Amino acid sequence: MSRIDLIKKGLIKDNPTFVLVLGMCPTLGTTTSALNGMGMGLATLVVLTLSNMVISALAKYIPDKVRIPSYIVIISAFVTIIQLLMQAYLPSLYETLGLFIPLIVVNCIVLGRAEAFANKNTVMDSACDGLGIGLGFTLSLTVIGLVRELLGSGSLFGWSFTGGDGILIFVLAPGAFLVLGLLMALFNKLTQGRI
Amino acid sequence: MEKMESSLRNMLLSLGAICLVCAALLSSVNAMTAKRIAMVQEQKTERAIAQVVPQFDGTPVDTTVILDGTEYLVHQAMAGDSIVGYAIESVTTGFGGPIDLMVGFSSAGEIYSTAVISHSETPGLGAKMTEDESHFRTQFLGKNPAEYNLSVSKDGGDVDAITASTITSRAFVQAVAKAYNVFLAVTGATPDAVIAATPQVGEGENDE
Amino acid sequence: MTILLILVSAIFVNNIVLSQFLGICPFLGVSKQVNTAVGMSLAVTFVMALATCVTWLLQYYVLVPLNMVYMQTVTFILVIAGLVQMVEIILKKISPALYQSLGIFLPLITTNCAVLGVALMVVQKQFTFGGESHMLNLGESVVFAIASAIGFGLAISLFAAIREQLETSDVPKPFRGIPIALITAGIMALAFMGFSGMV
Repeated sequence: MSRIDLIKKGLIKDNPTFVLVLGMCPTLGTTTSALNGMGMGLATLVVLTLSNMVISALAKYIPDKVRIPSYIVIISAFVTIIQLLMQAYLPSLYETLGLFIPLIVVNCIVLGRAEAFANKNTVMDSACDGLGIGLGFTLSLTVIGLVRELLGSGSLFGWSFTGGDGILIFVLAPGAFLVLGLLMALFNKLTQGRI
Repeated sequence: MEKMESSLRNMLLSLGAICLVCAALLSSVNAMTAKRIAMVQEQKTERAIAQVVPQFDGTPVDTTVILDGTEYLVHQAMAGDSIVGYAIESVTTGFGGPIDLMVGFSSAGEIYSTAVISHSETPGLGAKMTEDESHFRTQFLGKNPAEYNLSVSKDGGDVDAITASTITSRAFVQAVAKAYNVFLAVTGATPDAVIAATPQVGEGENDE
Repeated sequence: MTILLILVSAIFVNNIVLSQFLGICPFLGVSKQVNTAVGMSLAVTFVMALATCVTWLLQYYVLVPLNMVYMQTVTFILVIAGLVQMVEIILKKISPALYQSLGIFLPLITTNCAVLGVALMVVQKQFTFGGESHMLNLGESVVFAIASAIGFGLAISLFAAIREQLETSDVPKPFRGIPIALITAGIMALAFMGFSGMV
């Protein structure tokens, strides 16, 4: 598979949200607006790409039995670095995403890719895989955030055009489940029989 | 090279090495960002102060006031030799958690402005209190709590609550009222408060 | 009194699954049958209480004095992973019967973000009970962890019961599986919103 294909497959065919149904907690918890969803997606993308690269480079030096703890340490180190950098340079986004930043550590997507791809492929391929899955995740979160923001607060990327309130329930907790469920059904309908 | 064998020695070596490298990396990133993170926190307070008092010179003078067992930090804004305003941070409990509010008073005791420092109210409902231009926020401006009943109209006061967010509105009003009591203490109207000038900034605020 | 407030708040008002969005993976993954859902919640309760106790002590007696709070995420997840392994080994030795029923869930718990989430929450967030906000002490933290786990158990068991019924209903094809489950969870979350404002 060429590297371009590796990146492309994460967007639709192996989309982490709509096809693999992984990383549901941040998907539901941070998508109150398109920008928040995008921020969360990008933070995950950076962690995923870097940890994929490092794990693929180190894979043969890590004995099989301590594989998982080693991966967890590497991933949590990158997560903490992102956390510190966001606190210093993007404090308002950091405050909105809150607990979900350290929780990237237990996002099944990151450990899943390390286990399923990075530990048996080259550094460059693993980077492309991380980038692809990360972009797919970012895209899904942005779209969910977009829909929730549009319906819930009547604005797009923070730009309000209704001048009033939206249908509040969509930015609250139940709206997260409802929007994701409906979007997933729509995704199934559109891709039926094609993947 | 062959894949590393899972012998005890190899396992300890590789896991230990990974832990060491990660710890070293993290402590250096922490050292690089610690200053900036502290600065960001400080700026947040400074911006909140600047938002709630009239134009002032230099840096505000900080005073610690202990009222009813709670410590409050009062920032006195000076222009020349006279005090132009007091910015008082006060925390109350809203619907979703603590509401951290900066309340500014003119030297005559009128509410100059307010700023929400942090909160965890429901988006779209209680979180509306963060909108600076909303009626809920502007209704306080220029009011002197001495002749303005600081409680929501439901409780017989003069403040219009945010629709469907009475708990948040009550908490907000309570924070303003608390700050006003601190203002009275600092200007000498309540003699039993303990006032001590301290250079310390912030009071054990979490690094969140 | 505080204990009671913590219980009501963590189980109903701020339900960890339906309002905090933690532990969604097992919520969707192991909720096809009520039996497995109950087994999973028991395992989660045990690990969550133990993990929160250990990480709380670690935070206040090791990380804070050493000025190494930035190592929080790394140490907490390692502690949780280690604890899960230990529980698995001990359970296998002491009570094979219990291991038979809970064992399969244990490896899944390491990546259950509710466990790490609760451990981080009690040391990072101020909690508000009865008009006072403060950081939780050790006892309160453990109670909060157990209450959160009960909240998780309640949500996942109710959800499993609904999903058993869902199996036999005629659902439009694109909605089958996860989408209809999410919409069901959404309606449950709506119902749980009725508890808000109670504490």
